Amino acid sequence: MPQTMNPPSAQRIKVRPAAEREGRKDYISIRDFGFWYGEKKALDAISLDIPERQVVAFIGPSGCGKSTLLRNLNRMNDLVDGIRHEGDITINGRSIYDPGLEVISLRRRVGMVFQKSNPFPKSIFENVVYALRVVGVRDRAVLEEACETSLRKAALWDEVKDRLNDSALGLSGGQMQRLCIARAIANRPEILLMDEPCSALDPIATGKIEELIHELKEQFTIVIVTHSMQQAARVSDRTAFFYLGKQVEYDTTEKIFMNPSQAQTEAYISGRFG
Amino acid sequence: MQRFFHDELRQLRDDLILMGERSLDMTRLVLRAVEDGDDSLALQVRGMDDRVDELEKRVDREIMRYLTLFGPMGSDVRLLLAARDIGHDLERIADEASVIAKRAMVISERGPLKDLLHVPAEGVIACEVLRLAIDSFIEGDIEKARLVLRRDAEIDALNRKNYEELFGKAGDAAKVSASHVELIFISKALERIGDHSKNIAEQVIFLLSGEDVRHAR
Amino acid sequence: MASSSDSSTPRGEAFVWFSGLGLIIGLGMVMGLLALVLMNGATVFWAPPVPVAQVDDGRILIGQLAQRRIRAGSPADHPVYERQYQVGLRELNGNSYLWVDEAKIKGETFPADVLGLERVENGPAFVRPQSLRQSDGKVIPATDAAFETAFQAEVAAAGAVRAKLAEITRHRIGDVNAAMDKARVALRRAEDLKLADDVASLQKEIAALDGRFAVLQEEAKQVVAGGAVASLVSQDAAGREVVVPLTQVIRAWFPNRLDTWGRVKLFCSRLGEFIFDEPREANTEGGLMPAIFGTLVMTVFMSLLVTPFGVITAIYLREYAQQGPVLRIVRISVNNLAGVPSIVFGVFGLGFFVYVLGGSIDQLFFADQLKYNNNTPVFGTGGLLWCSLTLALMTLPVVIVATEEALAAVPRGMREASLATGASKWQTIRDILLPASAPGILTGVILAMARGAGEVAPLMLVGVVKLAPTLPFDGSAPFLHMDRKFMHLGFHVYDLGFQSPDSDAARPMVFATTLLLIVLVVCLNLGAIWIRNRLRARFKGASF
Repeated sequence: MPQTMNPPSAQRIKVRPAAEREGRKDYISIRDFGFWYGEKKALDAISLDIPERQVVAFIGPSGCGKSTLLRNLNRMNDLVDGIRHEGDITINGRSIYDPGLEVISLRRRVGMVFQKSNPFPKSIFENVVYALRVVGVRDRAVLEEACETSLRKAALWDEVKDRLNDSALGLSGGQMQRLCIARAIANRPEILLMDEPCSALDPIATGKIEELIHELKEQFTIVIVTHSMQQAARVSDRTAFFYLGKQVEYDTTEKIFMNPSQAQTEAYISGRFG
Repeated sequence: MQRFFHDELRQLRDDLILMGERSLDMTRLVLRAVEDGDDSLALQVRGMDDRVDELEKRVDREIMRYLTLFGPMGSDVRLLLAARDIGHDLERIADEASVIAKRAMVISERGPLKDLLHVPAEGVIACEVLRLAIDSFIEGDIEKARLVLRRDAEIDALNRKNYEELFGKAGDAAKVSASHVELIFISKALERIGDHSKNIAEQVIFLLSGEDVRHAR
Repeated sequence: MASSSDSSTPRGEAFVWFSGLGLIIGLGMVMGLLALVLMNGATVFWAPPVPVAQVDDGRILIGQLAQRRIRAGSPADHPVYERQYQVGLRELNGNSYLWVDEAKIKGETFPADVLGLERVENGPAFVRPQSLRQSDGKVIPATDAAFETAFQAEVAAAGAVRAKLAEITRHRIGDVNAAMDKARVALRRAEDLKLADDVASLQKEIAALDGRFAVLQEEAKQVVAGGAVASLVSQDAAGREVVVPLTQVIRAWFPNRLDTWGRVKLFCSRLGEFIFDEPREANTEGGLMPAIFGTLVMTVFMSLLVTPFGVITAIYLREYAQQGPVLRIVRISVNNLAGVPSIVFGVFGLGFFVYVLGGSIDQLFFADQLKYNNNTPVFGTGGLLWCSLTLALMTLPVVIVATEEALAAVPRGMREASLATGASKWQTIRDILLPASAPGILTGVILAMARGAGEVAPLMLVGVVKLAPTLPFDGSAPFLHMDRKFMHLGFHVYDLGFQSPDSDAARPMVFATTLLLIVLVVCLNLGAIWIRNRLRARFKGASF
């Protein structure tokens, strides 16, 4: 039987179950949140709480607003002209729209990994320490340590430690995406947002990223948008299902996938949608 | 690549093994209760059944969770399907042990039986076969599983012998008491335990080789 | 699957040929131009055999064939050819070039003793040598076996003397003159302000400079006296005796006696002079060093000025400015700037940079200079700085457009990734966008350089001259003289072609100079392309 041939589980990092990891239950709190691109209402009356150090997945068909909501959590949508919102989002009790809170400092606390891996045309080392450079860290030793720590956490260290000064654009797709994760966690954010991080990767690379998410949730609160329901089921503790800008159901992942309370959710996860 | 959710399969295996050990314990204890006419032992066995039922429910939950969340493939699917059947068989074994305990208490109420016929011998073989079936699952040993299939016939033979000696042509109808009828039920239950062990062995063979050996002549 | 007659064969093949034709016409014109310039330019320095030609009317001439053409007005079915010979000896023949009807040439011979001479004055000469009078008074007849060796040795010695003289007159005396000018201005100022001490010390300084000047002049006289002895006695085609002092001879060769290797050596020697020496004889002879240098320095300065200015403008337009109708109008205006005739920029440069800016600088910083040096402007007249600025302004749209395109081509994801790590907009531009768009920006700079290096019209107004006495870069502080006028290859071509007193003599130089200008622009571009490719290689894998 294959399982008997695998290495003993003691060698692996033991991840504690969600119940033991729980910190603040409403670490990120979204209240009656609505959002417009110009005249088009993209999100309507979203209310959900994301607990500390858990993985929350946003699922739903294309255009359901899941990415829009994610990109509001670090205010990346500010780059778009003609946007408007109602309601509020708080992180650890403080509104992200607080005029006294600079958007730059918000983004330093909320890291983000994008759908398409987007390393800078710089060396691997410079990519990872970029977030530290922008806050003015110049000490080489500090940078090197941060680089190693982040790359280790991103499970990339062993693959690139001998070529840190090579261009990041020479890496494979999966390695680039893990590099982007390493870059996002280098300045120790509290929250990690992932916008379909595996959609351009092969299954092996996808598996590695999922392993990584599983290990990173020990330290970070992770919100992941994914088109793959299997992925949401595998990696998340809680899942929110969106449809046409509305939040249909938000519950533990087991509940959503085994016995959802809304017929719409059931139809979507069983592939009988529309 | 070992994925994080494979840990849950290990948990499932551990739960199944625990169930197997519990069922085996119950079978052994209940045999002692039959042989010694010990009611307290029989009572203890009946109490153990609930915990096996709990385990079966847990195993079923784990199987369902794994199927819905982790999209299993290949040998993982066989493990989940086999685990469902093995869990069911083990629960049935525990039920049979519980039935035996009930019969044993009826017998001891009427005064102990001097002659237990071939039931003790049958019980020893049933325990051995169950042990073999559980070991074949734990160790992934297909030879042990095939051995179970062959030895099941021994139990069937002893069961038949018990029946023949009491109610057959050679039997002495005057000797037969109500307790003997209970004994036949016990013998039949042991034979059922043997059958369930055989089912488990068949599932182990399916799990290990993908070969379906059920209903083979 | 589809055979050639299948109806699924794609239509529109005609348009492939049609558009290809456009390319072929364009390429053909460019190749034709390059071939013409290359043929005429590269052969200027080649020394072909020189014939002695007998003409019908009894004339005999020695000359290098310059060109052959159909006589104007001759019937098309019986074309009459005529040949142009470069006969040299302008002082005797009145003109270096002669046209002769081909039909009237009775015969050409190539005697081995024809000698070509390049002279300091009056252009080249083709003669038949008789004898050499050496510096020590000995006379060697041309028939002597030792003649050629002794003759070339004397030419070389005369060349050395000329170089020494040039060093004294041009550089050392030049330095003294410059110091003298400065001291005189200072003296006038001191006298005006009645600074008795300064007047006395300056007068002393001037006296000392006068002394040095006299010494140098004496030195020069001695050098001349030491070298001006040897001379060549020879005959021209008509048998007239020509005595050429060897101090006048720059280069001598026997065109009918040289082997190929000798011709190659001569070619290289002339090419070297062309590139590294200064011009002579109203720019029709000698080298182009000052023009090459001036073009190079001006182009580099223009690039240094236009790049930061254009890039900063493009960053504002693309990254900061609110996109809208106003911005669209600004963009259209910038693009239109590229279509304004270059002479307009020249007029603007003269009116604004030279008179307004330069005049103000003179008023502010060089008031003394103006007052005590006969109102001679420093920056208030054309110069290197104003030329570079004018061309920078002219090429600005190219850089702006290229930079905007390059910035727009940076993947959106890269911008977002930087902002998502908490970088500010400026940090994102500085650390991510600019490095990523550097190759695109450089493409713009390459285009700007190519346009700027070949531009002539505006430069004529703001600082390019026919003959500059000094380079814009020399050993006296502050080493780089942005206020100086300079020479430029493009203007040189114009000057040779249209302003030269001897258009026949200037003609080959026009082509040679054009070729040089093209080579220079190509070299500048290759340099920039090399830098761009290195940048691209560093960011390999990314698409810009």
